[in-house]
Amino acid sequence: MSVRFRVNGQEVEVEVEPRLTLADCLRHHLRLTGTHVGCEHGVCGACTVIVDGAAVRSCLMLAVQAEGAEVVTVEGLSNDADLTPLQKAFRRHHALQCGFCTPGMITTAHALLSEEPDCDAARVREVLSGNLCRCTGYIPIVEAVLDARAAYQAKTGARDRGEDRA
Amino acid sequence: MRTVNSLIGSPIERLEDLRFLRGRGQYVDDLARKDMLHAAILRSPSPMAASARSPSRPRARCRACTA
Repeated sequence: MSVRFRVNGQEVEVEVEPRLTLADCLRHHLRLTGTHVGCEHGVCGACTVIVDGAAVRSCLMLAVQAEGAEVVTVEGLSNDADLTPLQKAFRRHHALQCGFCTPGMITTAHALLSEEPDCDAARVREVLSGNLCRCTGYIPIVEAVLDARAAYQAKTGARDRGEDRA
Repeated sequence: MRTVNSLIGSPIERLEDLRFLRGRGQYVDDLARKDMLHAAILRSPSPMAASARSPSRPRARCRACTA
């Protein structure tokens, strides 16, 4: 089947089997291997991507279901010039070791902070409870997300004041 | 106390974090080479058994199989 959607701002059209997951479509067809497949049944959160603003498990979604959607992966939340404030916070707090769970952590945290830039530690823990990390433990990850809130608060504040329409 | 150097006891920002945080880490499943083969391991369904005939050769049945 042919499916069209946007990935990280770019229109893509892929020919896929109806049974292909969005995760495998991103990894194998579009070669966006930043999205990782861990458990393949929605438990580990490593495959989390942002679909139309919401953090979703790309291993539990079929590629054909993404028709017309706006998909953002960890690659789309990155740039060559510099780490983003969220990525910097992860690095500073040692919130990653092997890095396998990190793309899922980054996408999940980005979706949360975009919606709720003032969330507290309990809320961060609740949202990140769907993402497993086998290396660092969760304390540095929660601290990194809390630390990154300031950047999202600034962004939301600018938007509310109409300053981001440049 | 005399400071011997600035590294011991100080947090260091890791260089490998740059690629991991951008989704550019290369894990085994991320490898894509030309004509790359994938291995599948078929385990015996019986804990202890004698094979009456040799296992069917997948190659004869599947064009994508190489062994």
